[in-house]
Amino acid sequence: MKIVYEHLLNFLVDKPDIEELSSKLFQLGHEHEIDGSIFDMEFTPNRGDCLSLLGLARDLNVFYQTDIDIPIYKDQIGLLNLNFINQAQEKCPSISFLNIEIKGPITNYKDYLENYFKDLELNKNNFFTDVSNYIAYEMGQPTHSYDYSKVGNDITLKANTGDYKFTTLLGNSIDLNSSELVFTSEEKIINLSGVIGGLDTACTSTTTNALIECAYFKPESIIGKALKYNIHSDASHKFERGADQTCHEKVLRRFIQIVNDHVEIKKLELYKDKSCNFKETELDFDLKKVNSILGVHVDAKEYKDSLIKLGFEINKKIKVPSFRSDITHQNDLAEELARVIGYDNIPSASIDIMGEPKEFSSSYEDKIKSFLIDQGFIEVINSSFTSVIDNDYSIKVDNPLDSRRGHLRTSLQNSLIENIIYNENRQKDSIKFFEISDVYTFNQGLKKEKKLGVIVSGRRGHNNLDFSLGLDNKYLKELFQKINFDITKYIINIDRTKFNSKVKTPIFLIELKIEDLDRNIRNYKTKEIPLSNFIKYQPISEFPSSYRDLSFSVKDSSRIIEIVNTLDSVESRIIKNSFMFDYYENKKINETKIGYRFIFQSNKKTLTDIEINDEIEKIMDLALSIKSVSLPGL
Amino acid sequence: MSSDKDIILPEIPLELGASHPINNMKDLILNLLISLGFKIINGPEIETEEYNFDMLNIKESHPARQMHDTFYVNNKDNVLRTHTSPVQIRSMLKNKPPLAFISGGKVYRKDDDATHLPMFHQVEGIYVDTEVNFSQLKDLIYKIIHSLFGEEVELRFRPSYFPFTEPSAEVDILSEEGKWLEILGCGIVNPVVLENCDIDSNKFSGLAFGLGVERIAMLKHGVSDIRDFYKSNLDFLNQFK
Repeated sequence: MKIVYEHLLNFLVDKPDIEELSSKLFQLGHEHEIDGSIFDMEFTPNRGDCLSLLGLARDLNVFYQTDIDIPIYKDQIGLLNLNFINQAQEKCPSISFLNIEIKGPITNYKDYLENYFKDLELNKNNFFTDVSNYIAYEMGQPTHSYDYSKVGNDITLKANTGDYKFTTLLGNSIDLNSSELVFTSEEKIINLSGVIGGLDTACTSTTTNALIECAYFKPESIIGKALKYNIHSDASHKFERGADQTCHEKVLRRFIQIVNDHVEIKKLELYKDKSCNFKETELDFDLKKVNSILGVHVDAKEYKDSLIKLGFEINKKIKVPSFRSDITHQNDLAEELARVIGYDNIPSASIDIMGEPKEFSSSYEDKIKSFLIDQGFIEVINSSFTSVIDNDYSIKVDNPLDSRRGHLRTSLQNSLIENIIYNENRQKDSIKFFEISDVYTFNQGLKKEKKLGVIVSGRRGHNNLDFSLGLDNKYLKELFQKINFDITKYIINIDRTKFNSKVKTPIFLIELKIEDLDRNIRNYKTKEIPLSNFIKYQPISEFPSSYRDLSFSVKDSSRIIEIVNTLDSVESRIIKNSFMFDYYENKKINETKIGYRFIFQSNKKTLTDIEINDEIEKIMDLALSIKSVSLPGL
Repeated sequence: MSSDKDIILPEIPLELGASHPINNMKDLILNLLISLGFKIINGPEIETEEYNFDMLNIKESHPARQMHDTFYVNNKDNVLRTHTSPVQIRSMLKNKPPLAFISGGKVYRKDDDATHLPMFHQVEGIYVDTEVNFSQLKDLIYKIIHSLFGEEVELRFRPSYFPFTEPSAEVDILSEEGKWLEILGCGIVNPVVLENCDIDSNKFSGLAFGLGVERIAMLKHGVSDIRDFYKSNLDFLNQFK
């Protein structure tokens, strides 16, 4: 909600500057951002009472002298003879209607009303609706203005029966479901209650006879309605967070006052539903309890003063103001006191939980992770959602984000294959991933399994020993032999034909319940899982990489270390990685062959052959400057 | 091919793999809390509304229970847990105070943008004993944040609202750029929640806190888009070795 700083100042006798006010609002728990002279407030859902200038000023009363005595119409108002039937008193326990008839149209708004629209850059609608909107901003209570000449004298609040096409005052047509709470008149729906009124009965610029509805709806009767029908409604936002049941007459008298400021009033009549049964909340004055909740030693005077400033009345008991429906027990009162003190001003007190500190002990899940990481595997975490129904008992999401995420996966296989293809498409030629995750099925009851998935494809590694060896069936068998586990029956050679990838190297996958490895992994000595030292990550490039191989001949073996060190220390902004993939000594002719691969990639663009070849030439010059080094074929 | 003689080259280092940065961060936070005296507990990711909402004092009118915020499964019989708090409820029902539990794991909410994902990770803790108070909660939060962000970091406590704690607070740290960044939520356990778990709220009180693992990892590693954690991109994951 946007609140203009100057508008709020009108309620404060003290005139704090915007920074000071901002700091106090934070202390009270009212998070916001400042845009020029506008506070963009984000109130917590329990503080519906603060969704207005008046509400915020009431809370700021703990820090500043305030003037919240808003001018209202004080004369007698006649009774409105309205045939209103409330068939939903549980959901709407309190409601009033005001009939107000004016002489002629209004051309100019008073400054306070004009500034509301100007400062918040809002569009005007018509006089009565504009006053309604202003009152919601000023006092927090939503009202709805009907053109009384378009509404019959019978109004009923009830649950809608059957579907109904309803056109809102914004001109949007919505299909109302049955059982929605609506106002009807002459058998027609005139208002989706607490959310938005209808077009047919809305005020216009020519309206001179209006009926103003002022109601209290319980939050649970309104919540979700605006979203369901895709309506932006300030009224429903306020009702969802809790409005004040007892403010209606004051709000309607304020409405009259504003109208009276602008035009002569011909007729005023008020209808009050007699069923209003608001019950005040009273709590014990238990300072000892409140101090013990906070761990402070506040005296009775400070506690009383704090609550009184917030609108509480204190006699033998503490009477909670009607606008604070969120206060129901001593912990709530403790929070009120803490807000006044300031959370940051409450001293911290040493805590000792359960005596001696404990050591972290490894579970067998940790041991499996540790084993695979030791063998060069990278852990991945994939989404639990999938489009694939991979099991007869897979669980369907009732309200998925989209059809691609309509079920919960029961196997890790598809996600891991997607991980391989994703990386192959980014020119990765040696991939070893694993994932450990719970998966769920439903067959006469929920069933949970913790699964391990391992997937490999491509080269065993980039060093000269592993470069020409593939990640295959044999590799996986040897891997699990290290913990004396025969993995053979779990290995699946994935059929590549259905995947969109040009790469032909086989993909091997293992998936099993981690408890199957329990006996074998139990004695694996876990090194502490390496905790990263908070590396600042470098953004990854989405541009393709290219590589070039260079194969050097070295005649003088004493130069080998020099050439390796030289090639390892080549620096370039477009070389992403380099490694020695081949090393071969031919003793007969006293020659060593060294193969190096350089991988090029830019963060900004796709590299051209010319740019890559320029870098390669620099590397060649550097290497060939070393004695006895040559590039065969050059 | 390689020769088997004349080892004149530096030894090829064993190429270690890596734990996922989110699991890494989760384990770091859990280990820190274990060292402070907490015990790890685990629970299911698919929950009942009773444990995920009702027992935690999240009333039917609370926005979190709406279809646009929570994933429902099995014809609305179950929900994907929206926080790890139900694990604590289950443990409080089984154990009597004093108790100090932490739980970490996947949680689900209907969000999907650069800073929110439908699946993310939380670590939450609860401590229930006689005379647990807000001043002690502050001490614990200082310990956690100082361990994660250093002793010098400036932090502030703001009043907030969670149905399961009262008073409730959100804690911000001041970034190097001078911006307050929200780090965790915490509070004194709402006595209604203790009573729901058959714990006498006149005799016992509790503190609770929760951290978003991705949020901490993004700040610590300088990752600006949460989705990068879950692309399984080798260039990304290799940076966390």
